[in-house]
Amino acid sequence: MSELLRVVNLSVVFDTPAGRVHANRGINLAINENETVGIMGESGCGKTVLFLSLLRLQQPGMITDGSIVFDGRELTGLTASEMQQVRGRHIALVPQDHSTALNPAFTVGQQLSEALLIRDNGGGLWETSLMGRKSRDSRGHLHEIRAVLNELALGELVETGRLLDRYPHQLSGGIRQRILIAMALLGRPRMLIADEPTTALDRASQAQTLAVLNRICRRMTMLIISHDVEVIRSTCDRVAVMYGGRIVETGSMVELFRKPKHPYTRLLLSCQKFSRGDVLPEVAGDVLNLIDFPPGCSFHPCCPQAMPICSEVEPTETQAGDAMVACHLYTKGEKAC
Amino acid sequence: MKGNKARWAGVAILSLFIICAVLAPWIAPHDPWEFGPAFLHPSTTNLLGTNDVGQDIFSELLYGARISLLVGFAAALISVSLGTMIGLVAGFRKGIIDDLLMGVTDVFLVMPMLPLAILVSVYLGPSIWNLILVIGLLWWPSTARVIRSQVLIIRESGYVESARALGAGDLWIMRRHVLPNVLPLLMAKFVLTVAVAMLMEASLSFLGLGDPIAKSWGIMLRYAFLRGGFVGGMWWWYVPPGLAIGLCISSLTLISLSVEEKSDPRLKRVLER
Repeated sequence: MSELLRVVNLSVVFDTPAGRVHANRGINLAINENETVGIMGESGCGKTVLFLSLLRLQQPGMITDGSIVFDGRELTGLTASEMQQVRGRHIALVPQDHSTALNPAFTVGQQLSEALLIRDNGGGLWETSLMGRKSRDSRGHLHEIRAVLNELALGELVETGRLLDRYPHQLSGGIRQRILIAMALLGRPRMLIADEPTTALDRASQAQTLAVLNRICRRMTMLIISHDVEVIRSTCDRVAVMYGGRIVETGSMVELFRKPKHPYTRLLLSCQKFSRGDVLPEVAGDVLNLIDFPPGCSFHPCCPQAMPICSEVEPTETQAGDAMVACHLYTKGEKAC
Repeated sequence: MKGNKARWAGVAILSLFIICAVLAPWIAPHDPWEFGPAFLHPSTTNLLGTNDVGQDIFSELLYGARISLLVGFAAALISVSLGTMIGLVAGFRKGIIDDLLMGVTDVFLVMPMLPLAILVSVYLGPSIWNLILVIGLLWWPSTARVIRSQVLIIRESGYVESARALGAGDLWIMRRHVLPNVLPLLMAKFVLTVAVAMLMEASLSFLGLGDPIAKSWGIMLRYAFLRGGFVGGMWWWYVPPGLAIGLCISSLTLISLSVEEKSDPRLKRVLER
């Protein structure tokens, strides 16, 4: 399997009136072709900033360090117009919030063909035909849109004429979410980023969306951002766990769920296993402040297994089994637990 | 329902004026530039009598609709396009460009419009096209402000971000996402600007800054005032053009309000009261 994306030591900061927010601090991540990688972590841990940086849409944040190599090309040095060619055609995004991500002024069909027009015309000013006209839904486009919608189990709605000429507000959340996936797929990207693909949905739509994602991730490279362990478990080959702007553990999905290594991962996973009546395990301490974070490992104030060294030295990523862990429990010379 | 009725009333009145303007050469009983017996009272041959040089006032009124509406719509077109472009760029680009453009807008906004228009049209000389230019180039700041504020909201919306993630550029997003979403607002603003431009035209023409030979409602009022129509109590000379201006502007305002209400349903309750 060849490597499609390699992120090395990526650091992103935001300058705010309260101080400099270090949203990503030395992220290392590699994604192979046809692999599905999940990124898990709590709100504010830097997941969103990470994938926005891959698309260079992290403004007003600034990439201060590191490199992003996609398909052998360094993305951090590209000009704005070169980057525009990468977005959608090489790396596509499925946005999280289906209720705002579709333009309320256009029908779903218009927006799907817009995705095609952007792909074919480079997203510049001019396009071949007038906007809003039937003529631009040329037969080839319609055929392509149908094919993608069929894959997303929306073919029946298209055939009965209850989809393409509808406005976003006339459709259910689950369908809108799948329209967003379709728009991303129409760009024929090499890699798909799905941001919290099921968060804004009810249970039934979640199951449907998951089924669709499962089908897609078999044929293409995907990066799935989620804090829902269920989503990660059912789609991903490998998982990266983020905390405080860093990736604290990376490993194969099976391995990570069976034997989580980092104390934070363990806590995160134990939250998922509680059943009705159980007391939800609580993490001590506060949500991490990314402006002035504690010295050493940023998780140590909350860590149940903290050692003296944890508050002094920031742990580096270490091989532990086939996983990478950034924790002093696994650094050389220390006793593995 | 009330907003709807108001709109249809507005559309009906305005259409009447537009029909008059278009068909003026065919429905006017006389050539309004033709001299004849002066100061005639209303009669069956001269429905509204004649003016100081014997031109038929009713025909003048019909022809006047042409100039007044032409100036109104042309000036509004210029001012709204200018304001839209400035508002779009300022809102979309933010930063220093926004500061600069809004600085200029503020300067124009605080300047008293009528004196400025008088000054500029004195320099340019009296002609309809100068009038259109003066009104069009001076009346854009409020449009720019309104459009900018709306663009600031839209540019942060989810669909703009998802379009960006699909690889769309700034111009694409402006044209495909921002412009269609400010369009209803633009329509309301345009209709209102037509009304303002017509009023401005009447004022400037009344003050003698319009084309003295052209037939417009403002010019008619000017001559009625200068040549003794007011003093002589010849109401058929000065009431009709005044009424025409008033009706036209009221109808435009009604249309504008209902368009605005359609674009923002929160305004509905205000209108229904």
